[in-house]
Amino acid sequence: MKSFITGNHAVAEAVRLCRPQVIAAYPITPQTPIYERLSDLDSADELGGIMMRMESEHSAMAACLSASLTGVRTFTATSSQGLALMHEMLHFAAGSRAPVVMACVNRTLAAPWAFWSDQTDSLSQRDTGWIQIYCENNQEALDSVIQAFRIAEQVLLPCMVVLEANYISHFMEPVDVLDQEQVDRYLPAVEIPKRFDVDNPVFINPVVVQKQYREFRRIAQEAMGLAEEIAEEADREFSGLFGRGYGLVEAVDVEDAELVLVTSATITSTARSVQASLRQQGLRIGLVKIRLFRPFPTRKLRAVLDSVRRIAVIDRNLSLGREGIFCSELKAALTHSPERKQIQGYLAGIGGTDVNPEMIERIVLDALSRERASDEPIWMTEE
Amino acid sequence: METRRCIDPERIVPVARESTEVFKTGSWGSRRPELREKSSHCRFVCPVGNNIPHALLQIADGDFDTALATFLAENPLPGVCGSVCYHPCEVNCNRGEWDGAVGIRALERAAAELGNAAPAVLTRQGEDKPVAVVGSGPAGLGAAYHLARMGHPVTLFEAESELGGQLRWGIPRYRLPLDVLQRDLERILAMGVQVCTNTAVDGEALAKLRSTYDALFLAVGAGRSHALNIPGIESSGVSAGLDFLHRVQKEPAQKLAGSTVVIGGGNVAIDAALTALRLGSKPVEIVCLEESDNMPAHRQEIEDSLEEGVTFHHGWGPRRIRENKGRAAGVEFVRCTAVFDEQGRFNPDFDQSETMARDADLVILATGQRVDLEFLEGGGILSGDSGNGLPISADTLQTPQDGVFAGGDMVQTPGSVVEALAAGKRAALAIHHYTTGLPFQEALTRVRIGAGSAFSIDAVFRPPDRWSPETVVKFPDLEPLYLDHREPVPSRRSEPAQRTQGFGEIILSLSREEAMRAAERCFYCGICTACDRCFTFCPETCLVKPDSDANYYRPNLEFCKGCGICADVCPRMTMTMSEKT
Repeated sequence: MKSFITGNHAVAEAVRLCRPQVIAAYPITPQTPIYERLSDLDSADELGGIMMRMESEHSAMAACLSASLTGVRTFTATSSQGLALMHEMLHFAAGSRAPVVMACVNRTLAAPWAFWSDQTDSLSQRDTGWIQIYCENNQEALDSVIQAFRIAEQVLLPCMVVLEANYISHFMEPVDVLDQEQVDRYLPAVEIPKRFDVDNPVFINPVVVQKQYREFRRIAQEAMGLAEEIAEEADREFSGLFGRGYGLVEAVDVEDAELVLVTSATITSTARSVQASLRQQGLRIGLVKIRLFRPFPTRKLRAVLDSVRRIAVIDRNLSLGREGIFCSELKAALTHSPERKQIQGYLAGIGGTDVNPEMIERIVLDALSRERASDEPIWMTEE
Repeated sequence: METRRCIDPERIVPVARESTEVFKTGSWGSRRPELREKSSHCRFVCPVGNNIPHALLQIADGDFDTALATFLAENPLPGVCGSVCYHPCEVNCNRGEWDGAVGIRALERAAAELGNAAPAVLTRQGEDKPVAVVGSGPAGLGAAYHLARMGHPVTLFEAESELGGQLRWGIPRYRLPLDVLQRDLERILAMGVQVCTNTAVDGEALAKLRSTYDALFLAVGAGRSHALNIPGIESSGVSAGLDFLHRVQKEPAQKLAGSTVVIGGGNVAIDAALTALRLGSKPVEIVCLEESDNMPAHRQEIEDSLEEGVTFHHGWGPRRIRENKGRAAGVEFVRCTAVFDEQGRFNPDFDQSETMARDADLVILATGQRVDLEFLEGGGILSGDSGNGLPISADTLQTPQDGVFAGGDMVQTPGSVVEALAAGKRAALAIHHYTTGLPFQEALTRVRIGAGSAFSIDAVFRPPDRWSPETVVKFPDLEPLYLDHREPVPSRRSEPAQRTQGFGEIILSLSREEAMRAAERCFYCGICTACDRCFTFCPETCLVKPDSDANYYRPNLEFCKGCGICADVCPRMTMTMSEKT
């Protein structure tokens, strides 16, 4: 059944359907409606688990990861400053191999203080050991949360489902909210290690020596590799059951493309229409959407881009002193491609500014006309 | 899916089932926690140094026998003190700053009534060192008791026909029932203390005793009333307060007719007034120099009197006793304008122009007691004319005469029962060291409670482990996060109208259940109740509970980082940190 709801409420609906036993969260704009909706469900006794209103995001993550270690399904949601505050605990959750699922609503990081869409908050958490999935629209946000529980719990790594401020969080779209029976069929009851067992007591995370630390990092890296397989399988099965899937990477018309646009999240929707329209005008343009950012789907990207010469990467984020983060990641991933590449990065939509079809067309034309790519990203503005 | 190592629960996170012994974090810390029992505030202010928190913990557990033994370790008269002590313990109870002091006095009485215990023998060192004690009031009884516990053969000389001094003759039965006193006395006698009643000791007898016994302890009290030099004082129907009380105790069946005026504002005045009331006198009036707030009598006793119908007249001093054919008929008073002079000395000032007259068939003068040292004359032991009493060492209570010690009201007036007991206890320890030649100061220093005068005689011979008696735990030392609120258990009192019909007790004993409930309110300041908080909160899980190796909580120092959380969460300041040495 389709409901006309915001992305935040789509996330909350997905959480309800996944029956987490513990939700620990702290409200922050623009994530707050998720928190509010879950609170409402809790008040109406429709959650079935415990909703903990925490005193900070740091505590929220501490609570989630601790609860997760007892073997229960856990969820939280945050944004921007909240995510930054949570940073220490993100490492702890991943290092403890606690499959916490979190919705992160992308929002500019202060300073200056603002509330607009910008991916730098979640991308700053790149190295914490969390799986990251970037969503294009409200439906994908709902579906990705459901998939996230399955992926996280199978590979025993925490998973972040990322949706953009306003464009997803507060915009309403028709969303197919799965029914409980469907979700129960897809997502089994939680079955993860129970670390708190009075009959078999253990101390988790005692201090380790250097070599032990190195081994745990190596094992976690292996798990990230496995996560890619599991995420793919989870999406495939989802698609089989419900008739829609997203892949880890989505490629449109890349086979004969003279130029491929690489996007993530909501800019992808706009890029889709530009790509289709330019194709009609005879320009051989392709589109690749990166949905899974961690683990980075290098193999998938190489499969679709190895033979492509010109690539334009659009980033609504910036690693200051370098460039858009998706662009850097893609360049690194394609280093060993046999075909020599011209990869140009574009900063568009920084600070939540609008990225309209006309701007993307300008990007395409710029990329096609360049003899050589610049090492610097190109700032896109309204005119 | 096959279990790969990267999702094998046993391999993805470090899991320690044995210990964290790979990292001996104990070397990181500069401090170490140590469980050391401290002195509770109530114990610090208790003149006899009763180990109150331990006794109350035992009562809360329903173990009245051990609780009585705990009181008897320091105090020979738990029944008496449980009835009449002025309870500085309750006044200074840390819980008083929270939600109402614990009713400690009633709990000591409950232990004496509901428990059974024999006093512990401390040592046999005194076996061949006999000591004579003169006077069987609380000071003499205290000395005799503790001397007997240290092995000394003790002979107790008493001028009256029965033991107890003011406990028997001065304190009315409605405050201290005879059976309660008797039980405390029998416990002392059962220790083999020899008693010579009806034996007044004069200076010559004293000299003889000195040659027979290794030491003497004098505690004859202050039984002589202050004389008032006013006209009519010699008429019949005028009585000194203590004489009046003494007479009534001897003949409790007597009756009074007519009115009574009691002159004085102390506890003896109150006792005399309430006793007169019980014998049938009406009205009974108390006239004193002091205003209501400044009376030396205890507040509760003043309130008891008001409840029972005694009338008070404040700010008056007697000018003369009005006579009728040699019998007292009333008293004339003049206005007292000041009780103390500018130096704060007792030196009342009067305005002769303002007067008041009261009719009275009985006039009781309760204007203080004094020591009578005349009996010391002769024999050459001590001089009885030393003016302000005997000069004695505050430390050992020894008089200028070698081997002769003195204490109680005889040395310091006015005193209380518990202070007299404390003097007897101090004298006993001093006499023990005097007779055995052991160093007294050294022993005393080890067992002093805080910087006060109280000490534990028990600890001299049975020193507790991990004990810091010099540290007193006050309210700010407690951790209020762990303190709950509990209503005080109210004491039950008999109705005023009923009370005046006889000499039944005003304060009724606690039942077993009430006592346990009241004792559960104790914060047990400075002692370990095995509450487990230190164990529960230790982030290194390196705190070890009492077990077969040691009966106290202690850190495993190989791993204790000295973070101090165990000490922070200890509600009663028993676990504390010290620098590593």
